[in-house]
This record gives sequence, structure tokens and C-alpha cells, in this order.
Amino acid sequence: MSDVENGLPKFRKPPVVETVLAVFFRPKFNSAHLGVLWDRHFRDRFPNLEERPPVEEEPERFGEDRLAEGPAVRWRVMDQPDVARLWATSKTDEHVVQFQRNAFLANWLKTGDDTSYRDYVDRREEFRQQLECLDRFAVERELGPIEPTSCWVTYVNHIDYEGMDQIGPALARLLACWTNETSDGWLPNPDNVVVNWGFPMPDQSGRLRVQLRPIARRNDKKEMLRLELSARSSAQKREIGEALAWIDLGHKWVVRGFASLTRPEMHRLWERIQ
Amino acid sequence: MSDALTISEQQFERVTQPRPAADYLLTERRVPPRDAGVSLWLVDVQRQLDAIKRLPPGWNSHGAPAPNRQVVDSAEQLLKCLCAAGALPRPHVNPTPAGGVQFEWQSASRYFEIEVVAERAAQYLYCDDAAGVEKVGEVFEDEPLEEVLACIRLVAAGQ
Repeated sequence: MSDVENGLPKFRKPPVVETVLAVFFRPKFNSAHLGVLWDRHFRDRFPNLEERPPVEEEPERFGEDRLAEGPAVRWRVMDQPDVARLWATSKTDEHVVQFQRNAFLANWLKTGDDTSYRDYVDRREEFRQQLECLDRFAVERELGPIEPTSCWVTYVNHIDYEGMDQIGPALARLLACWTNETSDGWLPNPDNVVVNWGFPMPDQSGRLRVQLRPIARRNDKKEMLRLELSARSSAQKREIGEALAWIDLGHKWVVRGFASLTRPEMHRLWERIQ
Repeated sequence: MSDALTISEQQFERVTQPRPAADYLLTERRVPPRDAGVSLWLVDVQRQLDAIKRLPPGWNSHGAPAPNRQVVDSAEQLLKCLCAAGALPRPHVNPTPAGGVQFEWQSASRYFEIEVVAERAAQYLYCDDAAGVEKVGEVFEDEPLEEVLACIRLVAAGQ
């Protein structure tokens, strides 16, 4: 077992359908750099390319500012247009890499029921290699090395339930902190629930954001619960090695947070093995 | 995480719609109204910056070059971005002998200055004499201004 997974909860059939590892860094690249980077280093494996608007780096705030919302205030010099985010998909649609002037993100998607869960150790190693590829590219282009400023680790889970009339009891079966009871039994079961939590990580190093909400599948309208856990670091300048170490910490918080929030009965359903 | 970043989001649709902004509720007014005083001093500072742009070479009697217009414009953008974060006290504005612009805030024992040294680069200094704190840093275009704002607010809190 690798060090990064040592002692963490593990499931044979986790409900994970998508994972995302992301690093934001000091702005480096313009549109030309991103195009060359994709063409030379990523096109073979991620041949399908789209352009999308850039994603804002939202700093985790603490203390009096913790309830503030929205992206960081930035120094914008108005003579340059925004650089698009490149979204490049693998041939199987199972993997996506995303580049923008100040960020690199890598997604894994469970594309079918028979797709096996992509282990974190593999994902992390691939992400490290991709990030170092970006770093080498930036140095070769005399843009200076990548200087990470914040990191995200996100896991999306889809959990079956019996429909909107049953969302309250379903949550009570899923979540350790939800009883679906009222003080006098007057209210009926809810037909919609959206839950958002924020759990601060030690030393204000980041926050685990958890969101739960019902969704319906496009093709068959099947209703499911979407449980997203996203660990995000506070804004701080780092080396690449420190960013990867934080990604390990974020992964630990996502996995332990998932196990902590959900009930042991569900763990048996997902075949928890440690 | 932003929905735009995940693939799975695109294969599903929401049962729940995003909650519309509840503008009719006083308790939902999340952004405090911007301090009207900020706008007033910002106009004044913009006039000062326009005057700085017109300074001739040798304006300081020691052979300083004329201020770089792009750097002064960039300094104006920086100040506007800082003001967008909320009410800030008015800074002192100075041209620098190197062709840049410096903004300064001062209170009893605290001092902060940020000098725009190039079109997309600035350096800053924060001092708190009472606490024996001195901090220097730099910020570039498109970078978060959280640390800069924190320093200015510390100075403002000491006034």
C-alpha cells in the first residue's frame, strides 16, 4: 500500500463517478502557449479539443471573511482579452485535461457501470507527470517555473434512491448526521434537499466543501443524489512538490470526510474493506 | 466546485433550479453598499494620476525620467481593483524617480506602500513599528490582491 493511501478508508464499489485534481498557479500562459502545449505534449492522448471560459480561482477565506463569496480580487490590466480554457478529452472520454493561463486540471470520469474506479495513486502519479510537463514547457519558453498558488481535490459521487418523495428517508440512510425527524411530526417528508457544508482544515490550510443535492439523469430521468466533496487549499505560494503534498492532504480529507459523513450500513453496500 | 469543471455534471440535469437572487429581501442584501466616499476620492486620485502623466523629464530636479504612461494607467487599474473589494481609505499618491507610481497608507504606527514598478508588476512594504513587523512582497497582473488588501485594512484599523 502506498504512503498516500495508508490507513485511509477503502471501498471495492465506491459510488465515485468523477474525480478532479487541480492546481492554480501564477499566470503564465497566453493562448499561443496553451495551443502549442496541447499540440506537442497532450494531443496524442487527449485529441478532442474545446475552448471554454476560464475558471476563477476562489480563495478559501477564514475568520471574519469566511462567509464572503466570489472570486479573489485581482489586478486586471484592461488591454488584454481573457485567455480561454482548453478542455481536451481522451478518445474514450474517460479522461480530460484542462489548461488555462493560471491553472491545470485533470478529470477522471466513470464512463460505464463496468468501468473500474481509477485508483488515487495512479491518478496522482499521472497528475504529477503532467504538472512537471507544464513546468518544463514554461521553463523552455522562458516563462519561469510553475509557481502554484492553490490546489483542489474534488470527488463526485452518485447514489441511487427511490424518488423525490423518499429523499428525506434516503438522506437518513445515507448521512450519519441526518435523522429526517421533526420536533412534532407535522411536516411531511421533504421533496427537495440541498445541503452545503464547509469543514475547516488544520492551520487554515484549506477547507473541505461538501454539497449534496438531488439530480435526474438526462437519458432515463432516474433520480439520484449527487454528493460532491471538494478540498480546496488556502491561497499561498508553493513549490510544485508542496502543491502535490497538499493534494495528498486534500485527498485524505475527501476520503475520510466521505467515510465520516456516511453511515456504516452504506459502507457495507459499497463494500468497505478498510 | 464550479459545475463547468466536471464532466459528470454535463450528463445529468438538476431537479432543483438555482435559487433566484432574493433582491426583495433586506436580509439577502449580501454586498454592503459601497462607501460613497471611496468614489469621491477615487475621482480625485485619478486627477492626480493624470497630472503625474503630464510630468516632464527631470520633474524632481534630479534627472528623473517622465513617468511611464502605461505604468501610471496600470497603477490606476490596480487602485480600481482594490476599491472594488470595498471601502478603503484614501492613499497618498506619488510619482517615483524610476517612472512608476507609489500609493501609501499610514496610521499611528502602521505604514503600507505599494509601488507599481512596471506595467504589470508592483512591490509592497508593510511596517508595524509597535509590533516590530516588517513585510515585503510583490504582486503581478492577474494575481489575487488578498495580501495587499489585508495590509491596507490593517493600516486602516490603526487610524
